Amino acid sequence: MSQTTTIHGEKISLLRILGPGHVWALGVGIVLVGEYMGWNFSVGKGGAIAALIACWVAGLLYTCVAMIDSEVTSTVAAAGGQYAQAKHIVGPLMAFNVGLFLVFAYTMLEAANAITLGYLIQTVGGMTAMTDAAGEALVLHDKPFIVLTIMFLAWLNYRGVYATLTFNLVITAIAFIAIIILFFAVKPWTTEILRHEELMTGLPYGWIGVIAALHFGLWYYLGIEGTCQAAEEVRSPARSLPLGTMTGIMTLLIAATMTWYICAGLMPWEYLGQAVTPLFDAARFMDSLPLMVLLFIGTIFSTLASANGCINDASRAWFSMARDRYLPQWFGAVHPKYRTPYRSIVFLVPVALLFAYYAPLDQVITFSILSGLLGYTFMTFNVIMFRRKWPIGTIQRGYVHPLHPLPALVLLVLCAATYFAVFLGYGTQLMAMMLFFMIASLWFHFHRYRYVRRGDQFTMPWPRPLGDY
Amino acid sequence: MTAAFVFGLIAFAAVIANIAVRDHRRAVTARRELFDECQGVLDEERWSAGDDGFPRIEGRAGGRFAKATLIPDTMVIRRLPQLWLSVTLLVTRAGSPSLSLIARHTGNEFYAGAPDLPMRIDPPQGLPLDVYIRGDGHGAQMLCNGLTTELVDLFADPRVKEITLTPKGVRIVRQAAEGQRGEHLLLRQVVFGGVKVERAMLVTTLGDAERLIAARDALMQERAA
Repeated sequence: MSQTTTIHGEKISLLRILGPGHVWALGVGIVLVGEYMGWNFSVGKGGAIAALIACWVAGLLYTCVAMIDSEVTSTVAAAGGQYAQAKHIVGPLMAFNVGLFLVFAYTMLEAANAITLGYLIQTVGGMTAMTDAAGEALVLHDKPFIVLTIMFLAWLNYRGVYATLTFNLVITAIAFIAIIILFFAVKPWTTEILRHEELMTGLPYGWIGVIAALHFGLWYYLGIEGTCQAAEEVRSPARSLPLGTMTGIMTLLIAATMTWYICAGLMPWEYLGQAVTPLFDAARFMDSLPLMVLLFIGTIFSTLASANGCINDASRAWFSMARDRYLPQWFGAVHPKYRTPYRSIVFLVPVALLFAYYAPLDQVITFSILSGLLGYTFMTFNVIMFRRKWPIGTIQRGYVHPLHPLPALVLLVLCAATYFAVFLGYGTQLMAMMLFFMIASLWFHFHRYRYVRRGDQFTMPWPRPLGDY
Repeated sequence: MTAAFVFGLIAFAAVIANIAVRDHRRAVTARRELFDECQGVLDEERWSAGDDGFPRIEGRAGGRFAKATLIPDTMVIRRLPQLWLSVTLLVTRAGSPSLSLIARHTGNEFYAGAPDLPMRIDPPQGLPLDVYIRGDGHGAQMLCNGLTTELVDLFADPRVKEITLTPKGVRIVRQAAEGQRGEHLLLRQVVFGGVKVERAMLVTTLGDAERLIAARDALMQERAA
């Protein structure tokens, strides 16, 4: 199915409208892994109720993100995402930082996926109680699997070996269906299995716990804004960008509530709040082998799929920065045979390995969330600058988000609250990350900027910006 | 129970791996057929394919060496994968300046020659402002101005991505296909959905390259006179 759209004054029909399958993919496929792990650390921060409130507040944060991103994306060539937006609206230093945010968000998520996968295999190995020839119990360690996962996926990305449709559908469908089956297996319409009345403990840390839980509440949706994808030659139509992302958020909100409901009714919050694989643990609490197998496969597939996408996106962001000379151009090479950014892929492997091997899961997730959060904070002043430099009517917009600047201000407040939440639990990591970005910015400003082709940074056919910029 | 679990798991992994390998082989085979409709367009044509399955044709068009290749491009985040048709006609014109133009420039056009050229050139009147132009000197600027009519005509087609003219020949890069959205969003897959490069597209692109060569030759002769 196609629709007509306009570019350079020409009417052309290339773009496919989002079908139901795509909407499902937008909402569920991309951030499915968020249901399988990570979100439950918010339970540890403030209890089960706090986690649910955080999940819904994070939904509001992402609604603002979707509204703002849809407008800018429908106008700026969306190719390149926030990185391209920063280049055009703010400038090279901001673009450099946004590029780093993207690289770190994806690389840390990749590391988190590998940790989860390794942990799960270790757990299942322990459950199977395998023995060697001498009858000694065999212990599976997670570390080799962590390393193997990252190396294998990096190799796949290096080679550009792509599986195709059937394979994708099989693994995504299994990961999704596993959650649905688990939901029905716990018979949520009865109190036979779920014990919410006994396990719900209100707000053990009061309202400060709710704020603290905001930090991991973002995990459910992290990356949903990536659904605003551009076609190369055709600007995405006005409605599909906000519609696709908003539908995704609503789908996730429902899925997240379902996941929370199952887990909070099966496990005490003290346990749930530090579990690495909460859904698999829920299946274990059910004591059902088929469910355990299903959730095991679901967790493996969702983490593998997510890690694969992360390697792809992190390497492309690194590659883009090198092409723009924000980083040494050496990283901007494309493999002559496989057509992949092979140097960027290889360079980021030890970074992912380092964090996956030595850092605990909650800290790795924190680094990923922080990088994402920095990106969302950028969006607040980016959209205000965008509206001031190019007010409505000066350039063609595919979508104009309503109530400006309210969404930007709400987003800013929610971002500030989340920084505070991170500070409450992970102040050292927060400071370390800020320090890193400050040093990187100084390096860029005083050293690297001289190599940047300044005139090449702005490529949009827009009129001169208004205001004192 | 444990043995059954492990056996079941291995069997499941084997089935999934089998599906993946089968699908990959099918995809590579499908890629080799991308140029099937273009058979006979070039004289003395020679076909080859890379390990990734994407084919190339070399031969002669209008007595000149011609090459048609397909370039899969997944380099830009938050953009769908692109399949570019690159058509090159070799014709030596010593002393002719080098000029390269890219539409909707992102900076990630690894296949393009423009970034390697030393001078940025402003688009002449008529060309869209987002066409990124570089050349190797003032001769390139004059060449660009002299070819404005032809360039405007070519870039009126939004599928035209890059045009490069050098002393060795002319290259035009055109969008042949765009990756499917769902597959790319889910697992960063590059699926072009059974498209084939249309014969008319290759013929048109060769004709466009030929016209550019003729226009450049006319311009150079005019200058020489």
